[in-house]
Formats: sequence, structure tokens, C-alpha cells
Amino acid sequence: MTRYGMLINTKKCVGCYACRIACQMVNGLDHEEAFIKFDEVEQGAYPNVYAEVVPVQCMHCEDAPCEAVCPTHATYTTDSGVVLVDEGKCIGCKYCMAACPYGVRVQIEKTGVIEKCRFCWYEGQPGNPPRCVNTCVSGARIFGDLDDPESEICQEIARTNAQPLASDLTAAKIYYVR
Amino acid sequence: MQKRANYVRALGALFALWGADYPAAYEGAQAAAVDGLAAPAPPSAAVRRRLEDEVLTLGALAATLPVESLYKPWASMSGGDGDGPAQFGAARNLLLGDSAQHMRALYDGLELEVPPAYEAMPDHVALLTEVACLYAEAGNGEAVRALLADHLDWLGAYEDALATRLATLGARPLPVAQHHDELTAALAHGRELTGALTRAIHNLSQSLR
Amino acid sequence: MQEKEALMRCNPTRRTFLKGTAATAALAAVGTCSVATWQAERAEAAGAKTQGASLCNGCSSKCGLVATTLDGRLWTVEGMEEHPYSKGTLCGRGHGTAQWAYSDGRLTQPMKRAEDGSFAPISWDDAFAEIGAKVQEILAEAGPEALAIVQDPRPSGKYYSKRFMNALGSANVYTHAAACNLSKESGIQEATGASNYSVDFPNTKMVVFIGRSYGDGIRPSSVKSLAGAADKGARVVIVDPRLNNTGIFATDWVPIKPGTDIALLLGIANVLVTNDLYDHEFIEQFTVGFPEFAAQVAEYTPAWAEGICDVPADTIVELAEALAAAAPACAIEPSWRAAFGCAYQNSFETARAVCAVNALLGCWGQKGGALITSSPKAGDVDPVKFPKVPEPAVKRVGDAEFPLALSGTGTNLAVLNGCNDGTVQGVFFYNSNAVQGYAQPAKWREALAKAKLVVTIDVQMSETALVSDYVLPECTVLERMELPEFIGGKKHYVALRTPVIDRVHPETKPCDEIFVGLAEACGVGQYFPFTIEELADAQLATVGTSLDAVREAGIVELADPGFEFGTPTFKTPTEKFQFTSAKVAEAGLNPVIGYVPRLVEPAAGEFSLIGGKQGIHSHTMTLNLEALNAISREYQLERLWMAASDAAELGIADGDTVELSSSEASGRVAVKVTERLKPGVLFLPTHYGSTSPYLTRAQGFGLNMMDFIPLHLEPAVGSTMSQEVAVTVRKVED
Repeated sequence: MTRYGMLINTKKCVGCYACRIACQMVNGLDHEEAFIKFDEVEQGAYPNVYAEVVPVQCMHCEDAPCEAVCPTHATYTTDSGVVLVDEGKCIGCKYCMAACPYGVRVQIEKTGVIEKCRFCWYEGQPGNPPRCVNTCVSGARIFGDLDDPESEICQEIARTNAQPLASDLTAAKIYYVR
Repeated sequence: MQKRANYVRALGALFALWGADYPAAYEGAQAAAVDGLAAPAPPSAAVRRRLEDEVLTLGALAATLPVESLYKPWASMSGGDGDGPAQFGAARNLLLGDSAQHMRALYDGLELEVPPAYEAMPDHVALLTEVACLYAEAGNGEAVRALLADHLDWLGAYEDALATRLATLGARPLPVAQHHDELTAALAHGRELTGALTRAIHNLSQSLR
Repeated sequence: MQEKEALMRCNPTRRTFLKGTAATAALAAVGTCSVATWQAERAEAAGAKTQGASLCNGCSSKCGLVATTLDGRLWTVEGMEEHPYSKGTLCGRGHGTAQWAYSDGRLTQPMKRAEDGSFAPISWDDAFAEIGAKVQEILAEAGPEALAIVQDPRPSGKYYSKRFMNALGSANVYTHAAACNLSKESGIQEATGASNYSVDFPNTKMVVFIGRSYGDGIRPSSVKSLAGAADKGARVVIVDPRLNNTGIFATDWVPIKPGTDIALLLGIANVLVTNDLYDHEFIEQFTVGFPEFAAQVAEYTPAWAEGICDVPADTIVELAEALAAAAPACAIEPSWRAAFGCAYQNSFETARAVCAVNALLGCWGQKGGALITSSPKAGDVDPVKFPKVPEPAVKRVGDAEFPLALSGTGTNLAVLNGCNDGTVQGVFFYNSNAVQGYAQPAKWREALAKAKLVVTIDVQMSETALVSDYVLPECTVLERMELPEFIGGKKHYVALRTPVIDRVHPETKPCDEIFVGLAEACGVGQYFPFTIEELADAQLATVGTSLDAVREAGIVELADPGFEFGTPTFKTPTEKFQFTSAKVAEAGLNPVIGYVPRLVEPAAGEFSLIGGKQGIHSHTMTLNLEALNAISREYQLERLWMAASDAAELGIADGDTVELSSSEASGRVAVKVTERLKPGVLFLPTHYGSTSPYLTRAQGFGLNMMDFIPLHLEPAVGSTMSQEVAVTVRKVED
């Protein structure tokens, strides 16, 4: 069974925002609407400081709380584990925004629909790869099938012991090397 | 319908660049006014000049163009095969959006040519109102209704843009201080024109019910 | 106005804008296409998707990109896989600047400035005619040496601007280098005979960055190379008052006092020489002046260095020993602008010191070390079709006063000086916002106001355009073709900018057409009897390919230059690596690589001010771009960075507004309180503080660092000394 996920290596992210803009372009988003947001982390005291940038987007959780609360089933998950929004069913009630613990659901001004990262889903497939992965200048992102042990993503998760961002807050499918 | 459409067109034409001939354009609007609606009075030459040079010209200092693409999402192509929608394009404040593309398609079908000055703005209000009037002259009420609904529903956003430009004018120093008053008056007049056009469009669409 | 002709036709109250006789049947037809129907139909037809190749114009890397259009409109861009700088990826500027074509902030027609400073549109014909007349006047009264052009090199621009100026008889062609990397390249040139080099990241064991941040001034391939080296366990040392965005790859952060990198480098050199840790073979066989250098370096002990740069002596010793152990698979990275491209009085010498340390380590040309590679260029083309322009008789203004400035770039500040003393009377700017970014803006404005003619070619009404007599609008990069761009390195390539979308504004032109028009109007049109396609094809033929081939592929690899590891040929007058340089002596400076202090020492209560880049912006060019501006605002990227301990002492909290002041300017901005900065130093990103009211999203947003910098020119080199300033800061109480 195909089960799509992503790995983000924050030890390689230079905080260039290219992923955010590429995502906006391919998804037709307004300049202030973004599916990818960034947390800046600074630890320690001068001169022993560690700083990193953590990109955050829809985790495509296997137990997606946004899907659970959606009154019209506009939010749904494909067989391959990608959480999508059926624009036609969304009534803009924003329950999903409240339910998402990562705060990554975004209301689109032009349609009122509450959208989020869709792994560049088009014509039955995710992006090959999604645009954020495609543009990352440092190769910090990997996309692939979590159920394929030979895949690059599975091997990298194993090699780096990558974990979801917030331990088991949700069954998130984006793994972070921290 | 025709008379009301005529008035809409005459008001839309006031957003074009007339130079010294502008009084004739305002006379035309006044002559075309219907149903007790009051056409805007012509402003002074200095204010009209400021409006044309600084507000209604692309790339000018206070450029706030009545071009539909700037106030609508740039592209909204919902494709997909039932597994979820896909949307393409980029965002607001960009020219040659879907509205412009659709107007081009309409002009092609109607065998109309966009003059070079409007190359980047086939969805300029002057052109949109002209097409509405052409449909009305041909007796095509349905087409007029569609055009008003599809392409002339953004004037509120345009007026807001003019108001914002007006509000921020004081905060940002202009190269020439004495133009400030003229520009303020020009932007206010622009809003007046927009208001008149909005009312005329509303009047026209009411009559089509 | 163009409108008038169309409107003059008939009864003014029945004006028609749309031309042609509308098909009455079509007008009357019911069921005419509504927008929704049209969109649905288009969605089904899946739109006409096409792809085209170009080179990004977000910065001077000019990464290869592939643009995808839908129904003729830009949809997405991505990095070109085969291009050595993008390698299939693009930074934020690539995506942001691609959308420039549709921006509402563009110039759409030529503009002429009136007496009172306001602008009105003017036709191309009139603009060319008036500029031509003015140029003829200047030529007659003062000669061609009174004309100059300043440009940030791009494939077409660098060719046409030089040809235009030379055709007029003037040698005054300058790049932006005086505000970028002039000191660094001039210094490296003096020491090695090459103006630049690169680090062999795939094989390096240790690399030291002096100020340069790959994570902020992004070239995708550089970031990848460094990531690869870090993955392999290379030691990556960042010497910078700020822990910059490359810090994620670093093993060491060495905070240093601004402008004192030279002391650190000489301290390292001292350790290498004193403890006999240097490469004897390289020194003996391939260098001149080592005995003088060694004698001088004896006084630059780690303790001495610590006193100047504030890096502990132990650290200096450890770094030197670690480098020696890693040698020759190690290097001091050459940098670009950052700490010694143009920043201090000692920048040229710092560049030489960087080279000296590499020499001591014996890493020139070695695996994992400092590599000097070659670049391809077009061969000679048919002199009949492409007439040769005679060499200008008079030397370039500024060359005599700044003999150490790289000859390929000169110093554009000679233009500023020239306008002031009347030597220069007519100035052209292409792809250059000199007024805002190259030196104290007030000084630029003062100088240009004295010129008889200032012409700027740009896509937006920049600060430089704002003080010009004529502003000529270029179309954006995705709308135009440019001459072939040759790319050097271990492999050679040639790439091309091709138009991917139709011209959005019909009254904008690509720079080749603009320069041809200017040339014709100025009476030198006979040097431009060819089209850009003809020239491109001819140039490409000289390197064994063709315009069609490169258009098709976007990028073509050229003949293998046969790079080999090993000590390179040093193309210096002595044909060796130069620890001493006669040319430097002739310029009145110490010929032996040695210590030069920075000019400005902040006093008690004052701060140093350093600048730097952010990954989404490019100098003063991009702030008004919708997508990039939105990010700056959301993440408050305009903020001044202040060290936490300084902030605590001054009672300033994160997000407070402060007033920053220097001898030249005062301005208010929010503060980012951070541990990532050496106390006593303030950091300001150098993209903000636009003063052009035409750049509505950029005007007044943040501060422009250059506003605070007094005008100084580095002796004999002419760089802008961009960080020679001491500032004060105080909290603003509301």
C-alpha cells in the first residue's frame, strides 16, 4: 500500500523561503496566503548559540483531526494517505482550523475554502515531487512512500532517526531531522 | 436597456485618457444620464490632468488602474478528475489575469481589436463598459447581465484601492509637494466617478431583471 | 499621448476604444460564454502548457530556470537541472522575480523628468532624439571622456553598454563592483593573477568563511556543495560577528570584531610560519616575497591579533594548527561582498591576506583546496557584419587615481567624483541602482544633479531612476532574449535567456533594442548593424554550437577545459604567487602583505554596523516585488539585530522601536534581540528603506544601510568602504 510522507531535515534548512513561494505559485495562492510557515529557533547564549529554521506545513496525519471534525466531509484522505479538501463541500466553518494542532489550515480569500498543503495533488497523484521538495536549494526535503523500505525517504528516516515534529500528538507523516 | 447601457458606457469612458478633450467626455456623460442619476461634473484641468497622469497611467506615481485583473484572483482554473481540485496561477495585483484572458476570448469572438494602449489591460473598465453597451445595442439582455455579473462586480474593491491610496498619500513624501493637493482632489474625484458608475451599473442590472 | 490618435476619430461623445466592426450576429447571440463556462471549458482542454528556458535575474548568479506557462501566462518556474548554479532548484528570488512581468510596480513607458522633479511619459522616438541631442552637445563641448555608463553585468547589458560607450569614444564603462567585490577581486588578482577562485568542497576537510554566507546570499549550487561537505564531516568555520544563516552547516562560529578579519588571518599566518607548519615546497617553488612577508608576519602574534580582533589567541592557534593538519585539503573561502568585498579601508589587503594563508597551506590548486579555474568566451566574429569598435583614445576616468582597481570593472565612484568636478557630464545606468546602494545616496544625488544628462534603464522607478532626466523601461527577463552567457569552472557551459512569455507592456523594450536606439540617436548606429539573434548565433558558432541548439536545450556544455588538480599557473607579472607586489608599491601602499587597520573605531557608547543579505532579496532591487515583500512583512525581516546583552543594558526588548543614528542619517526601525550577534555590533539587512514613492510597498519600509554610511573611497582601489561607520542607537519611547 502506498503511504505518502515527507522528510524535512532542519539541519540543512537555510531559511530561504523558496518552498513557500514555489508552493504559492503552483497553488494559486495570494501573496499573504501560505501553506508553509516557518518557526525560528534560537537556543543558548552568546557565543554558544544554536539557531535553526523549522518549516511547518500540513502533516497529512493518518488520524487527521481536521478530517474528524469536518461536518461535511470536505476534508478527506486518499488511499495513498494524502489529506485533501473537496472545495465543493467546504462550508468555511473553520472547525478544521481549530482542530489542527499545527495551525496550518489556511482560509483562501477568493473561495472561502479552508485549504492546506496537498502534496501538490493533481490528477490522482501527488507532485513528483511536490514543488517544495523540487525547489529546496539545500536538499533538505525528501518525499516518498513510507511503505516502501527501499525508498529514499524510508532509508533517510532510519539513518537519521527522524521523528514527527510533536512526538505522537497526531500520527503525522512529516518526519523531521532535528 | 440601451439608454442605461449608454450611460454606463459614457461613465466608463471617463476612466480613459482624454487629455485636453476631457470636457467633451463629461458632456457626453451628462447627455447620457438617465433615470434621474446625476453625472459627475468635470473637475478643473489641473485635477483632471493629475488623475490621468498619476492615477490612470500604469507605472505612474499613484497608479490605481480600473483594471479588473488587479482586483480579482489572477487565475482560478479548477482542474482535476474527481480526486480533488487543482488550482493554478499566481496572486492578486497582477495584470493579465483570468478576467483579461476571458475578455480577449470575447473580443476574438466579437471580432474586436484591443488598441495597443490597452495591450496589458483588455479588462480596463472603459473597454468593459463599451462591450456592455455593444451587447445592449444588439438587444442581447442576457449577455449584458452576464457581463455585469462576471466583469463589472469589482468596483467596490477599486474604490477601496483609491481610498487607500488617498489615505497613504500623506504618509509618503512625493517628489513635488505642490502636486499633493491636486492629487488628493484627483483621487477623490476618481472615487466620485467610481460611485457614479456603480450606481449606473446597478440601475442597468435592475432593469434587466 | 498615444490615446489621442485613437480617440480623435469621430464624435467624441460616442468614442470607441475597441477597434473593428463587431460581428452583429455574435453580439446578439444568446448563451454567450460566461466566465465560469469559459474557465470550465479551459480546464477540460487542460490549457496549452508550454515550457521555456531562461536565466533568472534575481541576482548575478543567473541560475538556469525552466518556466512553465499555461495559456501563455506564467504558471511556475523551477531550476534547470543541467545548469551548474541551480542544479534543478531555485531560491526564493527565482520564484519571486519570475512574477515581475505581471507586477503593478513596473515602468510601462519611457519617462522624462520635469524641472520640478515630476515625471511625464514621453515616446521612445522623442526620448532617443532628445538624449541623442544632449549626448552630441556633451561630445562637442567636453569630448567622449565626459560620458560614462554604470552597469551590473548581465549577458546583453555588459556587451551592449560597453559597445555603446566605446563607440562614442569613451572608455568610461564601470560595473557595480565598487559596492560589491572590488577590493576582494583586486586583492586576489594582485596575489594570484586570477580575480577569483573557488573551494573544492567535494574533497575539502576544512573551510573557513570570512563573512560570506551561502545561506543568505544564495546560489543553490553553493549551498548544496557546502551541505555535501558538512555531511562528509568537513570542519566548517564561520568567522562573522553574526551567526548567519549558513550557521546550520557550521562546526565553529568565531565571532569577530567587524573589520578586523585581517588581524585574524595574519595571526594564523604567524602561527603557520613561526611553528613551521607551512608548505615549504609550494613557498619555495611558486612564490615571490616570502622572506619579506615572513619577517613582517613575525610581529602578528596570536596575542597581537586577539587585541585587535577580539578572537582569543588560543582559538587563533587552534585554527591555524587544524588548517595545517587538514592541508592541502582546506582553504580560506574567497567570499564575495560580505566582509571584505568593499567594506573597509583594509579590504583589499584582507583579500591578499586570505590568499597568503592559502599559500602557506599549500592549497592552491589542490584537492579540497583553493581552485583557480578557467572561463570560456566567444571567439572573434566576422568584423564586417560586426564592426570592430576602435579603442577609446583617453583612459577611463578614475584609473589613474585607483590603479589597483580591477581593470574589468573599474570603480563607479569615479563617476560620482567626476560629476562633482565636471569631468563627467553624462551618465547612463543599466541594471544598476547606484544611488541607493553604491555609496551615500545624498552624495550620489548631489553629484548627479550637476550632470547635464542622466539616463537610467530599469524595470521600475528606482532611486536612481528618480534622479534621472530620462527613464527608459526595459521589459522583464522572461519577456526577452539576451546574448549567450558563458559559464566557467571545472566544466564550461553556455546558456541563453529566451522569451518565455509575450511582452506584457508594448512600450517596454529589451536592452539590446534600447542601446541600438540610443546608438542611432547618438550618431554611432553604424556599429550596431546586426540583430541580437545574428550576434548570438555568430558568438555561439565560435564555440562550436549554434543559436538553435542553445535555444532548444537552454544550456549546452562546451569543450572540456581539461581541468586538473595541481599548482595553477599564476598569471602575475612575476608568474608566481605574490607575497609582495610591485604594483601595490607603485600605488603608494605597503607592497608586502601585512596589517592595515580599519578606518573607523567606534568610541565608547557607539556600535559597529554591519550589513548582510537575506535569501529572498537582492540588494535594493526586489523589495517592491509582491511575493517577496509579503514575506518580509510577515516575518519582520527589516529589523535591526542587536545582541541580547546590549539590549538588556539599554533597556530594549525584542520588537521595540529604536532610533539608529550616524553622522549621516537617523532612522527608526524595530529591533530583533538575539544571541546570534557579537555585543557591540548591530546588523542591518541591506535591502530596505526605499525612498521611491513609485515603489509603494518598499518606500519607507525599514532602513537603507547606505543612508548611514559616510562617503569614503578605499585608497588606490576606490571601493565604497560600506561599513566604515560608527552608530548610536536609542530606544524610542512612544
